[in-house]
Amino acid sequence: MTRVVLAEDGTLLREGLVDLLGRLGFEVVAAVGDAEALVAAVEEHDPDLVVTDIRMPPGFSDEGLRAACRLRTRRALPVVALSQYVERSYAEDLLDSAGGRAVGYLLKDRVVDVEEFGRALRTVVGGGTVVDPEVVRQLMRRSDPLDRLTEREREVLALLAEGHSNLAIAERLVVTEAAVNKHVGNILAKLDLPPSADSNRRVLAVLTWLRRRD
Amino acid sequence: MPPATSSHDSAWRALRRRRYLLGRWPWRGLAYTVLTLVVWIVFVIPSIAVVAPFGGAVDALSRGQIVGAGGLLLLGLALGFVLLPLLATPSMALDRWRTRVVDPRPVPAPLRAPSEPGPWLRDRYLTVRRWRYAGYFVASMALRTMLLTALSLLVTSAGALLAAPILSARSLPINVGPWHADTPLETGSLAVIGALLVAALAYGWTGVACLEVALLRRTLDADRTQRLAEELTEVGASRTRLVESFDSERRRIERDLHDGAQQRLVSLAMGLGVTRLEVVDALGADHPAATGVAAAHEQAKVLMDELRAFVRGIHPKVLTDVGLPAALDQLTASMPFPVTVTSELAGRPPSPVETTAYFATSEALTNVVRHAGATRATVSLGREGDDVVVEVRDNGHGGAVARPDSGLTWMADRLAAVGGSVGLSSPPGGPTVVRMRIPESR
Repeated sequence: MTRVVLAEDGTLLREGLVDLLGRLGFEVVAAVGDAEALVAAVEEHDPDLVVTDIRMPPGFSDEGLRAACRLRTRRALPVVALSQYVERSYAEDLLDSAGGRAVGYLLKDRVVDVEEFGRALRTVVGGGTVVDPEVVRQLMRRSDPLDRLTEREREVLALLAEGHSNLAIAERLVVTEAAVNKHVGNILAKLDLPPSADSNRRVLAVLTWLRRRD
Repeated sequence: MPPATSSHDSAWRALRRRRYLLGRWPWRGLAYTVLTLVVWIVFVIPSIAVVAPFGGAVDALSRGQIVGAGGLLLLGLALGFVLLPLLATPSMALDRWRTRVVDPRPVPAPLRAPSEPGPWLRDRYLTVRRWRYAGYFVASMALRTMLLTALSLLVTSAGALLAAPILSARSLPINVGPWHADTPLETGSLAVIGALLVAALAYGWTGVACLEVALLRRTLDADRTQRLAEELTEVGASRTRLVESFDSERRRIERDLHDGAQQRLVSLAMGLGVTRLEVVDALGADHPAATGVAAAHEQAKVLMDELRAFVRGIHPKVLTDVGLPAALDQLTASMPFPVTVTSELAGRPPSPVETTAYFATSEALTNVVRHAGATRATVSLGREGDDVVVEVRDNGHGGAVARPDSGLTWMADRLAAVGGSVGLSSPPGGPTVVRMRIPESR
């Protein structure tokens, strides 16, 4: 069973998340309320996944994020960070840690889409990258060359950047996986990105491309 | 003739009426003059302290003692410098109070002095108005001295003239200059002259009272410009305080909703999500219980989104926590066309500046969406001197004008409240540029 350390300062939400994670098949080995306790719990339990709030005591700024990035300097410890709002610099700090592998940045509200949240957690545990659709939306808004893409291709690009596999994208858009493969090929060609069979490498390439517009 | 009293009746009006002597105004004028005597007595001794050295100087000069005269002159000037502004204030306060005896219209109050010692001294000795007050004090003391001297002579004379028939009846000799008044006709004539003199005095003292009131009013009216300037400063400051208290109130509401309702709602929706899974597992997705829980779950999510949008409109949390560029990123992400936000702000401006800039920019972008027909916009943040400058530029059709109820007017008001300003350039055909300027410190 995947062993999880959870950090969230709101008691109500923390208890809810413990229930939720249990129901989704994760074993919560520690549930803490601040960043220091998070670091200590990770040292003690060596978990397979960390789910942490970004804003936590004592400073209520980005303690959770800082702790997560620190924990990821030694190894690509899978981390999903939950944020009250989209802050691109938070997302970028996470994507810059451990090469952007095994990391997720999600708005807190996403936890209520229980199954979707569970999928995102498993993607991250499997070494994948998950980015909140809101972040992708902000990134894509700033990129002029995206005008070259068709409407459908932009939809596919957004889902790709959020970390979905081709199969998951096909399910969402209600098209065949072959059609998605074709779109993905076109997108990578138009953005001058190398074709790659590895889905996560593709996600990271797309994210890097979107971010270099900054 | 109108009746003698109306709310605006005064001694000055009464003086010009034919029946003046029969009304109450001569008596009021007399009462005022008695009060003048009291005031004069109170202030004459310190005034002598100021005047005496000058007298001494003249005396010394007449005896050829130039050095002594110079010393006394300097002493007089020094005493005058120190004492006159100090004497002027209580004298004016008494005079303001006295005016109601002859004139019911209120006299403007003197400007209040600062309470800290440094500013108090500066205000007292180094401001034009204080020396105008001192000038008033000198002029009014001179006027009073002349008035009281003349009155004491004339009242004595009038008394003597009126008493002429009685004195004559007691066989006392009556001489007016070279003339002798012996017969009843002669003494009677003197008494009539005395009565006329009293009547003339009744005009005189009221007239001088009016003159004194006019002098006081003129002196204090001269403060009006300064008073208006001070009131304007105060109004501006209170407007800024109001806006800032609105803003901090909004922040408080946002915090309360975030810590309370929003957290509970997320927990509720999460709980419903888990229950939904359980029910589907236990009963199948088509069971009425499963569809019911699913519907409740969806509603909770909709409510969560609505509450989030609402809270964001009150005061975005990201603005408090992270800052202006991040908050504008979040704001522009939901615009119907691409908006680029660039920031050259190093460090965060003070919170009221950020809040004002955020809401003014939000308004500017709303205008772009509504009126500009634009497909693209940019927001650039920067600093110029001590000002934070926000520029919102769109590629729409231009021709924007500021109407009294438009968003632009609202922005101008909002910015003016913190000492900022807004400029608009919108030639027909575009582009439209709105440039806002907010001082970082006030």
